[in-house]
Amino acid sequence: MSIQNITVALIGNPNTGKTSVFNQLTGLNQQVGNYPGITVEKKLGFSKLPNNIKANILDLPGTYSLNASSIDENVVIELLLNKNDKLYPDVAVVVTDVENLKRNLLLFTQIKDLEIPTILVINMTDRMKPKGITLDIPYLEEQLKTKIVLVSTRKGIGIEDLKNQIVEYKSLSTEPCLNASIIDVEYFDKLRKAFPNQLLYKLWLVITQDVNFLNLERNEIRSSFTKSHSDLKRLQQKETIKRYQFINDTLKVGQNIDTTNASDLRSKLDKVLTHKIFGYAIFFGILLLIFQSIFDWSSVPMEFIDSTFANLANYAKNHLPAGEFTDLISEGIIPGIGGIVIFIPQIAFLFLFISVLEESGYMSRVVFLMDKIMRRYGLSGKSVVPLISGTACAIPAIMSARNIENWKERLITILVTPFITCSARLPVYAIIIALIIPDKRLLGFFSLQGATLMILYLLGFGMAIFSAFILNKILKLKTKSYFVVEMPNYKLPLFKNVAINVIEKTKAFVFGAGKIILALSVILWFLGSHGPKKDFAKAESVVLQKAKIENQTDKNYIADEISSYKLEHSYIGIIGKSIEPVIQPLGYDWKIGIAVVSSFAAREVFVGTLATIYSVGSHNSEETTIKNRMEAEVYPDGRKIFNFASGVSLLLFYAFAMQCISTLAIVKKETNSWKWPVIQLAFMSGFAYLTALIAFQILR
Amino acid sequence: MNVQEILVYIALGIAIGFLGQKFLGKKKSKKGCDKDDCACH
Amino acid sequence: MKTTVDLLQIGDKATILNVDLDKIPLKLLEMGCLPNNDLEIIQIAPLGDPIYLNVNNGSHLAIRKETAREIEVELHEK
Repeated sequence: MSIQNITVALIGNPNTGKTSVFNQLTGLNQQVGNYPGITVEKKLGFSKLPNNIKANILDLPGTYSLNASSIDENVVIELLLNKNDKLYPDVAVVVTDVENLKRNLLLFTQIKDLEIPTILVINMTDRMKPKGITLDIPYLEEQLKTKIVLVSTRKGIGIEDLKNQIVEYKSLSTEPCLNASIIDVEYFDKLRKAFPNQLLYKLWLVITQDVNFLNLERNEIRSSFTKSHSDLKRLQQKETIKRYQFINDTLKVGQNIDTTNASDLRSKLDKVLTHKIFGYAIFFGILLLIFQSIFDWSSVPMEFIDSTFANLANYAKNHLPAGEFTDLISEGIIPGIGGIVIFIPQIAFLFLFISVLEESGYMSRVVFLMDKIMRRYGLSGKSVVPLISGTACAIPAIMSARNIENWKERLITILVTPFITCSARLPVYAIIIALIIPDKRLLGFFSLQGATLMILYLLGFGMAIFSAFILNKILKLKTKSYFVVEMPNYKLPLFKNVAINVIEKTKAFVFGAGKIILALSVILWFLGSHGPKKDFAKAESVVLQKAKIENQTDKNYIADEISSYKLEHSYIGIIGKSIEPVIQPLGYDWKIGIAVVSSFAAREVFVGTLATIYSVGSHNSEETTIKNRMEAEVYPDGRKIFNFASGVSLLLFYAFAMQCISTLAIVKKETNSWKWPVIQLAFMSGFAYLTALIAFQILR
Repeated sequence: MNVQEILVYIALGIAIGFLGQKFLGKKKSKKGCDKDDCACH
Repeated sequence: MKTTVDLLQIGDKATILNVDLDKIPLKLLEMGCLPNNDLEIIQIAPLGDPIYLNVNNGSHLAIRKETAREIEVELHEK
């Protein structure tokens, strides 16, 4: 018994449960990557089939037709037309939704025209009874020239049948189910005669689409068989009509719908959820609920992670052989990793909510409600998801802008998302607010500190919208693309899909941002613990001498003072001191300067760096202790460094500055050029500097 | 230089190398974009 | 009565007469917006945009007003 390895391509309309089929075939044996050179997700999985056959399952992007209207739909056609691609499928599985067969089958007939062995999966069969749908499977199999597998991913039935059917792929017919070339007999005859060895439909796709080819000279075909743009469109329309005629005729006999007892939950829900007033009220209510829950739920795991990593760092310091590398581990690497892990709860919870909203079908209604408003600012209704996701982390948020078809709207979304207050800014906000805003309540109910936090969130959001507005006016990008959003059936989210989605998005943050933050943590640690030999090496002797004079014997105090001295004379200290003239107008001194520079790695590093600078031992960096030290910091003339003016200035700076290097990296990747991240960096930093400057100068 | 110091410099080298490659790294093959909204930018 | 989709009210039913191929994406046709197919207006967002409709008895989608303007229909009598 030999072990065979076959490739199976899952194709289908969006919202047919194709991904559920993929998940149930592959379990967690999936890897998500990118197609080379473009920002489209490549989902490859692995499944063990009966008869010792192993299958590579490729979950292709959802598409309505092989006539691609976006780059991810293009991926489908590029693969299916290229027999030499190593992922060219041995068998295609077209996944359809039993309630939408008419439209779903369009793609099916096109795939059949490519003469690939094709299995038709009719999913969501648990909906047949409630909707009064009955199917004549043998008739359909005969007309469509395929084998049909009835599946319900919700109930978990049919997957084994599908696996068995895939194993029998060699017995599938590769005949097309209809002859579409009769839409222009003369033209296609000529084509057939000129290229007798090529599939007619394949040639047609090459003529009408912008696809790359290895074995067909596109120009060769186009030049001799070119038709005017409008003629081609007319033919495509005829082709679509022809296909639908075939599908209608087939379904008239093969499908029966008895609506007498059918339930129509969709209409009832839509009436409320897309209502002029209730629709928006419900949406904002849901948003508030989400944010409240995220705050409440994540505080416990975050504290746990915080103390665990602090303990780990301690353990490392005490149990590993003393030396520089141990210091790197306990002061650089472990805190660095801890700084990444601590955001996982918030990010995971946010994506949990978003995933549930998307899986249930509600997100499309949100896009519907928000599109007109968003368009005024150069964004799309589909920008809602990236903007909301940005409150967790800009990285997965920017990646989710991929489903915006209009390039200009997508670009603007990518450029303004970093203005949204992400979770990394919260530790910075928390400590500054604690310092400069009194812990009082307005009217016994509104906490001043909470209100300040909300203002900062609104500022971030407002700035995002405002910049989008400006960008929309400035950017002269001629883009022609169309907004067509499917409004799928409402359904209860499948836990497995949601779980896998959350894991994927969290991984994007952890590995995308994580690696960069870790690398920078190492470099920053080095710059902070090494300095020009002369001054740096004197640290201990200088501090010990000072301690003798002041009669200090507290070992901890001395150790902290040594750390502080070292930091001041390290490379980073030098950098901080050298930028002092630039940041003084904002109300910062060189110590704050060091913290700002360090937080270029990740904003939350700001707090940790301050702890070191103000010689609070890094093991007990409780906010109250840092807070006390910060409160005590004064200028030589006695004025407080952290006063209301400088605090506000810092808050504004962090609200607007583009500091997160990881975000820059993802913007570069998603826009495929350096131009945009550089412009973003310049604009945001410049704006942050200006507002901080103005705020400080006015308030002081 | 003792072992620990060497390890530190190795770690530093890896970190710098990684960031350098990420930000200054290999040029990906550019597909010809003849239409404006092919969105491959 | 002949009209265009952007002028229809919630609940109206109509039959598609003609689509301007230069102004309407092929995708819309492929989702069921073909001459002789029926459609029903399910909801209209504030300010008339976007429009949520059910075409070809089952394909539920939303389009912007500017696209709806290019679809000629024959309104069904109530």
